[in-house]
Order: sequence, then C-alpha cells, then structure tokens
Amino acid sequence: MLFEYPQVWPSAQHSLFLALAGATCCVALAIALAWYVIRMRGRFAGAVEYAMVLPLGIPGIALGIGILSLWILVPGGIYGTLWILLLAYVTAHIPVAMQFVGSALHGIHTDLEDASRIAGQAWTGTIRRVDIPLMRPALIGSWLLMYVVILREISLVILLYNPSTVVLSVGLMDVWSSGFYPELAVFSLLLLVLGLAPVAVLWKFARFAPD
Amino acid sequence: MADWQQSVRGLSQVAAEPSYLSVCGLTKSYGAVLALDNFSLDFVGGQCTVLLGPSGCGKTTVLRSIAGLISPDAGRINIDNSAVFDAAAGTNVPPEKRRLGMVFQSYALWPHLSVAQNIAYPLISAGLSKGEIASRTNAMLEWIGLAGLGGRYAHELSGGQQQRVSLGRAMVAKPRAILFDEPLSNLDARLRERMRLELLALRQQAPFTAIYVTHDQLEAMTLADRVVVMRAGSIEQVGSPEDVYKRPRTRFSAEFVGIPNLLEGTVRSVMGADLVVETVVGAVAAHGWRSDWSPGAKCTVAVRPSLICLRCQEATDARRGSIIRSVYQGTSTIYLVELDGTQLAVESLSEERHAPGSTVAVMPVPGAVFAVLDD
Repeated sequence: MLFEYPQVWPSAQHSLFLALAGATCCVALAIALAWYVIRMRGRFAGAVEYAMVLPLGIPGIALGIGILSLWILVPGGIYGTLWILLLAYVTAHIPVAMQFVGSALHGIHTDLEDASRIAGQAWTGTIRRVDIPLMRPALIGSWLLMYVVILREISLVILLYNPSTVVLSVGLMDVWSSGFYPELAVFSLLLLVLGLAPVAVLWKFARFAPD
Repeated sequence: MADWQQSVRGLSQVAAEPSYLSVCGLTKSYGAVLALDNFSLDFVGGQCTVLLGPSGCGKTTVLRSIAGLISPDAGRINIDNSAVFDAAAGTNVPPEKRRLGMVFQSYALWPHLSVAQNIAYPLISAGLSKGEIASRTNAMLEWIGLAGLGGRYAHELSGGQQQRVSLGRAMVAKPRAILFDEPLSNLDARLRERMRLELLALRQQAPFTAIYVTHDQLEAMTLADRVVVMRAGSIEQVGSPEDVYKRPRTRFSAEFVGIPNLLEGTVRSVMGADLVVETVVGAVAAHGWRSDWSPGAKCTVAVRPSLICLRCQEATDARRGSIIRSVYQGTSTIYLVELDGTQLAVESLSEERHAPGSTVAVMPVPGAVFAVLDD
C-alpha cells in the first residue's frame, strides 16, 4: 500500500528526519541559549532574549518567505534542500522550546550548581550531572512538542519545499486538491502514527515524579 | 538518631588535613555598592574563623570569593601559600580545582540523587575507584549518623538530617577547608541549638579549617576560635569569642553582640587605658580600647544588662531610676529603667519582682564597663 504511491515513502522519510532533527536541534539550542541568557548573562543576553521571542509573532508563511528570499540569493546555498526546511523549523519553533527550557532552568536554584562546582565538577559536568537531569521533564516535554508541531507544520514549509523535499503535510495537501481519497487516507494515517509513536514511548519520562 | 559524637570509627577517613588560608586586599563592588573594601585576613589552619555581621556586610562575599564562586575586583587569595586568586597576576583557579567543601544555607542537596549519591558526588568528581567511593561514602554515612538511609532522597529527610548530608558531602573528599554559609539559619530554634552543639563536637573530633559565616552571635560565640565582626565590607573587630563578647571595640560591635546599653559620658580621669567616666549611672571605672583619652572628652561606654545590679533597699551612692517596663523571661527578668531621660536595660536573676513605676538603685558591676569607639 505504502509503496503504490510514489510520494508517500520519501515524504514520510523527510517528515520523520525533519521532526527528529528539528526537535533535537531546538532543544539543544534552547539549552545553550537559556544557559547564556539566564546563567552567563552575557553582553548579548538581552538581544538573544528579544530574538527568541520575535518569531512567535511572525506568521509561518511570512517567515517562510523571509527565509526563502534570503537563501535564494546565496549561491550554492541550501535552497531546495531539506536543510532549508530544518532551518525554517528551528527558527520558527525555538521560542517555544526556549520558554520550556528557560523556565526549567530558572527553577533550578544556583546553589545546586555552585555545590557541584565546589564538589569538583567543571561547568560542563555540572550541566550534564545536575541541570539536565533536573530539567528532564521539561526537556522531554518540549522535545515531544517540537516533534509533533514540526510533523504537522504546513504554513512554513508550503513555500520552501520542492518536488525532491516533499513532506507528509504538504503531500497530504497535494492529494487533497487532486481528490484522491485512498492516498489521502494513507498520508493521514502515517501522520497520525508518526505523531503518536514517540508520545506513547516518551510520555512517562516527561512526568515530574522524582522516581 | 545515632550520634556522631559516639561513632569515632572511620574518623581517619573523614578528618581533613588543616590548611592555612589568607586573603589580602580583597575588594568587590556591585555597581555603586562596595561589598568588600580592601579586606585582609589570615585564616589559621585547623581553626574555625567566624565572620559575624548583619546582612550586606560582605561576609558572604568573602566566603564565595574564597570558594571561587565570585571573582573579586582586586586582591589575592592564598591556600597553603599558593594563590588561587590574584587579580594583579590574573590567577583565578576555578571552584572545582580549589579542593574546598561548602555547606549552604539552603542545604543545596541534589533532589534527583539519593543521599548516598549526594555524598559520593565529590568522590566521583575526584575520579576515585568504585570500591573506594563506596567505602568512603558508607563511612561518612555512618559518621553523620545516617547509616541505612543512603537510599533515601533529600525530601524524605528532616531538616537536621539534610544539613548533616550537606556536611557529609562537604567533608567526604577531605577538602583543604570547609566553608559554612549560614548553615543553621533554615532550622527551627531547637534544632539549631542541637546542630550547633553537634557541629562543635564534630570540630573537636576533626579539627579541620573552617570559615563560618553567620549573623547569629550565639553561633559565633559557640563555634569560633576567632570571631571577625564585619561591617560595610571591612573588619570592625577581630578577637576570641570572649574578647568580642566582653570587650567590644566599637559601638557597632557592642550592639551586634547584644549590648543595648550604650551610655554617653564624660571622661573624668585617665590612667593608661583605664578611665573614670561620669555617666547617668554615676562615675564608673571603664576600660578603653585606646589610651589617648583626655579628661573632659566625650565618651561612650557599653555595659551588658546582666552586669548591672538592681538594688532597691541599700542606700549607696548609686543613682536611682524608675522602672518603666518589666519583661519576664523565665530564668531572668529584663527591666527597662529610666534615669534622667536615659533608658537602661537591666537583667536580673533575682526572684524578687519590681513593679513598673517603682524606684530602684542601679549600679554596674565593677569591671564590666567598657569604653567603646564611636563610629
């Protein structure tokens, strides 16, 4: 069934790759940026904070146009590849990941980090052994949210995809307009399964119980 | 609850080699606020030095600078004669390389780790073998009286137990010194009292170098080998607990160690550091911190409420005042006495009660009066 429709398999692969990579990039970047803004309070902390809120107010389609018109000018750039989609996803969704990770980091008393430093861990070891375990529910929760949001995202990607980088949501729109319902059902089912699978696996690790 | 005073076993595993610390010319400002102003002090190895002062006096800044959590603007910090911080030379050893232990006011136990994992953490950081980590963790658990509770989490322990875990974690890696940042202020009064005595017993067993920050004069008196009274980023007075308690150098020190009676007077005669000062309670003999007083000079004397006699009947040359208020405290009664417009607190151990309004004679105990420096 899957392979009877030429668009289905590649677009499922694209969607899965983008959702996994996009969610992971968002969370990893959010940890680094939250650390910079909240703990290091670097010179550009204010600017970073502002830049992290800005994409929230920009409609996906407008952001898509912006990214498109920038990268189309760069010769040999990433235009027309999956990477431009990844970049768009991360740009659009990092503010939400930042909110999750930022408030989790705010909730960690700095004494806990100081105690770790004095107990012989450098700041890298402190993040790994203290902050990440303590932020685990927020990290897994925001990863899941990023994953499902990227999977079903359409407004952002509708202008940026080309025939070699079709994703499930766009493919679904495509077959919808051609009125081919069995294929539409396949796309929908795949989206549903891919969306639910990690939620089913990971939800219990996102709970706040200190087990 | 097992008592660490009795479990001397494993002491060799927890006792630290006393290290010598010194800070020199430490200065730190936050914006326009000068938190530390050219602060210099030697911390004697194996002794407990208590930094005593009100909040904002810079005592915590000193402690956190020594720990490496704050970088001062200027100055030098040495541990065992090697610089861990030197602003001029650009030396700043990060906290994880200073080999110190610290006990926080908030306990700062990691909630995602068990008690045993919390205590083992510094040993894991030091890269010890699994076997050694396990044996030293167990010895420490036993020593702090929490053997068998290693699998619990911090939130399952009482406040006192949490503070012991915090102490165990600070000591387990045999640090060069242990820093205490108001460790008892989160505990209720009874527990604070007990932990204070336990800490004292612990220090007597294992004489590590300790730097202890507090605003509680009772903690300072109990635990200190040396008390450092701090004010606005500099040292007000350094001395033994007895020195600071009995012979406060300044008006500020006197108020901070709990002497409310600061009487204005005039110097009548001077003999070395001994003065006779004319005050509202009459001419009293006072000992002073400096010897350059001259007759006729204005002078403030401090006298503790418990060192003033209240005598109603005896007609001596003592001045008379009237009781404004009495506060019964169980073992003693505090009277507020007014003499010529000056109010004086007097503590009486006598069972005899004086009613407000009655007239009493007051007289300081000879030798109890101290001339302090004005600020």
